[in-house]
Amino acid sequence: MITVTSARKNYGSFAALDDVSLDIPSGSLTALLGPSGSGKSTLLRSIAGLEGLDSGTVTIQGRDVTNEPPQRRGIGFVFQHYAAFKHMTVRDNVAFGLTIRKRPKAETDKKVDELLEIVGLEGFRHRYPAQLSGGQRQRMALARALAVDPQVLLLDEPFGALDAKVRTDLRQWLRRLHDEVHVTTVLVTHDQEEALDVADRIAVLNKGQIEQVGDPVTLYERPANDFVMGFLGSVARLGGQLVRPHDIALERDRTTALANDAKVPDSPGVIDAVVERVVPLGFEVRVDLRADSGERFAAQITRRDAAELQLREGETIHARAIGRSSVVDVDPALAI
Amino acid sequence: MRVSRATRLSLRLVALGYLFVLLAVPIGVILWRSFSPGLSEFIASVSTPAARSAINLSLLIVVIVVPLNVVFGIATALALVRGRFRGRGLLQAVVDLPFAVSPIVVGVALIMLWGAGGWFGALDQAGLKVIFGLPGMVIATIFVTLPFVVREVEPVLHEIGQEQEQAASTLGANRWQTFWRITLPAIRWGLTYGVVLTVARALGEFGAVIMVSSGFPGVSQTLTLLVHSRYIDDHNTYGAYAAATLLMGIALVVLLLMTLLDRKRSDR
Amino acid sequence: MTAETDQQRRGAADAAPLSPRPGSDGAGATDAAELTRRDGTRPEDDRPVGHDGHPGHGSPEPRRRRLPRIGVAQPLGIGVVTLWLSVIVLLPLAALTAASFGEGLSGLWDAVTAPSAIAALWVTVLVSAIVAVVNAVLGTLVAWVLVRDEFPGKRVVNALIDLPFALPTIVASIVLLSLYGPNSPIGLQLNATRWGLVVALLFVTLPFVVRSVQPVLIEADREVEEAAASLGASNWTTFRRIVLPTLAPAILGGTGLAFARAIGEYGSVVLIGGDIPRETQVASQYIQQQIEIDRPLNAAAVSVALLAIAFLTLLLLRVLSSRTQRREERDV
Repeated sequence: MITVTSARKNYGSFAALDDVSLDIPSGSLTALLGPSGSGKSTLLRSIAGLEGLDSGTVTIQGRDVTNEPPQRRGIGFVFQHYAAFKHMTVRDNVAFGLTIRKRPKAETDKKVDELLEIVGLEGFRHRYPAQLSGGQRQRMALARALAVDPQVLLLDEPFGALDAKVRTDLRQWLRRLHDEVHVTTVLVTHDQEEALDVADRIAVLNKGQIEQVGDPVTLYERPANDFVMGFLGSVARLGGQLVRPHDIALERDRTTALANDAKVPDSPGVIDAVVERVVPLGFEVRVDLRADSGERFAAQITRRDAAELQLREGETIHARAIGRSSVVDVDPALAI
Repeated sequence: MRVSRATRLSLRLVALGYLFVLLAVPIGVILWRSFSPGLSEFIASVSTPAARSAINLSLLIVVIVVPLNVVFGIATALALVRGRFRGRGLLQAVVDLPFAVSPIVVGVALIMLWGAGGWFGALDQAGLKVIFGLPGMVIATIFVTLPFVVREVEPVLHEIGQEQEQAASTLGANRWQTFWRITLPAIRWGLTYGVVLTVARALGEFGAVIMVSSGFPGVSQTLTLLVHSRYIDDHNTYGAYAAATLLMGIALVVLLLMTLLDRKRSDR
Repeated sequence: MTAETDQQRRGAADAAPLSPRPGSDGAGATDAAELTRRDGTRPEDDRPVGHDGHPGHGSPEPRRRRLPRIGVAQPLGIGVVTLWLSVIVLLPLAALTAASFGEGLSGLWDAVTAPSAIAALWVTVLVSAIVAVVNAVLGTLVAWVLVRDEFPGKRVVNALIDLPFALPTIVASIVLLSLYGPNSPIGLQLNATRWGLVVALLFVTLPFVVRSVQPVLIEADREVEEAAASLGASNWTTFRRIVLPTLAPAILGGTGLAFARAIGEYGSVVLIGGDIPRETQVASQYIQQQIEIDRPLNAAAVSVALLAIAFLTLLLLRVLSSRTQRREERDV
């Protein structure tokens, strides 16, 4: 369990952390999600002790570590750019924490072998970081962080420097690793897809404050405010309400549209819009629309629906929101 | 630019001709003059008692100066790169200062500070002879070689950043462990390059050292002073050539090391 | 090499769509804009990046209350370093300056404007200026040949350029004397002439211009030259209008350094120069002579003058280079 209480951190007049309090339960994989400058990295680095707080406290497993240096916090930290020790082999990198602790060589070797197997780098023990790909380096960094049996594992945009394909692979792999090792893990990311994919809890940060904490489904379906909704997926503005593009239905017949819309409570109503562009995106089709009010928005519909509608650019169509789509009232239990 | 063959050849001719006249011919001539009387003559000339003591003194100065420059050079580079303090820019400028000061001026400045009539003249009267003694030559050499280690280590520190050090600290390393195991290995080639430059300059420094040395043969003559005094005072032209050739040999080794290290450095 | 691949990888990560965001509505667009800025480079970027229009580096230094220290730079270390630099570098120069004012400003003025002192300074500046100009032209030429030309033995020649830096100055003096000295094998006696000074100084300052122009020439965008050629420019025009302006800051920088070095040079000119007052005696020799005949005030005064010339040169260089840099940044 990591507890951050009333953390504040300023850089000059810029508040990186503005009274942040957060509990991270033991064994969870929590993502700190937010845009650039939201304070998520600062929060993570404060937990690690790489940044000092102006005020507030950090406890790890009940121990107040606010004034402890990083080396006495019992953490493992993984950096975005790997921070691989370039002059050491993979083996020595992973063994570093154990060597520092003067563990017997046999024990160290055993542990290193184990970890290299877990991260799939058994054949690379004598290579240098320069001879590894980015993904391999990051897995080495993970093994290195895990070698010292940290109480918590902290990852600062660990996949940010990797290309898209490797990123998704490593994400899955991290998820499986966490299921095996069960160490309390905190992951900083700006990528909502990554957070939804890998984390079991997400804390959304904005401007140095926490907007909402919860599990991925709650955050996606019941966002506490416009910011969380906008950050956790794409949105369209429909009749003054925020709606997910895939929650927009398009109908040719206005009467049917009105009838269907009546079944949805608090809906924004039926909006007449001109089709500006139809863009096939593989499984789905994106339809760019312009409402009578001049507002532009996009709907995402399935290929089959699009085929049935036979949309032509320039024609007018009727859009409505389906199911629960708009921002829900702020649930006091979810918002902090 | 697509240069015609004729232009290219003539440009090449001018450049190489210039280098030939300025570098190659003089060096060829001195080598020829040093070795034409035979190798034994050359060895005899560079192993006279005065020459031996000059070599020893030059090496002694190197042995004192290099460790000091390494320790303070790394400390200065760390302060300049990692430190956030008022006056950092000033410190930066002070480090470059020795490059802009004439060796002779260095000598005069040291006399004004450490000499009998200088600010620290009391030391001289108390019997600690800095000027006209070994300490003066060491201080003069430190002055002129001060920027080398700093200037070679600084960019490497910049480049490696602090992430590796932070990673080491999260893995439980304390400051010393981080320095020895992470920082020092990371800067090792830059540091070596700086040391090579320091050694070369320390062995070769003449102007600053001649100002603060009493210059007695066999006592306070470095190799460069030996070359000078053989030519000027003893009119021993051959002896001067031979000693100069010895120094040149050292310089060539240094040059070779520099070329090799340069590749090593850029490999990183 | 690794840095390069890292760079590419980062580049690839940047280029990869961070989130497929359909919708061209207002909210989506703002988010997308925020996301493009979040380049995911360094963790520090999470600090004040473009926060309400203020660039991150413009904000004051982070306050460090309660920051657990992990770096090696400590107040103690900074103190020791400052002390060391002060004792080794600053105090001697301060003592020198104080000594030059030993008899007040007029004493300093008299010492510097004494006929023999003025003559030595004049010879120094004149010879150094000639050396600087020759260096600017031939140094650039040598750099060009070393970068753009191919010939056997190029690497050896390239390594040889550094020789004057590695060679002790007194050895340079002896080496040149052996060729241009009293019993010159080619019958060209330059010792005790100003040409002897010029040759000695050209020898020791050779690397400055070459080594500062070389990297710029390697980095220079050859497509620009090809573009100029495709627009009908002759080689000479391309060189004058395209290449030279690119190289100018490096040439200027190298030339300035060579000039500053030549001004203070002693070891390489001491034997070949001949030390003839008003003819070949340079300022450093004059200073040394004044110390020998026990006129420390004169020595200190001319030393300060020499320092002043060197500093002015370097200051001028810095101003010029920052101006060109600013101009280029504005142009971009």
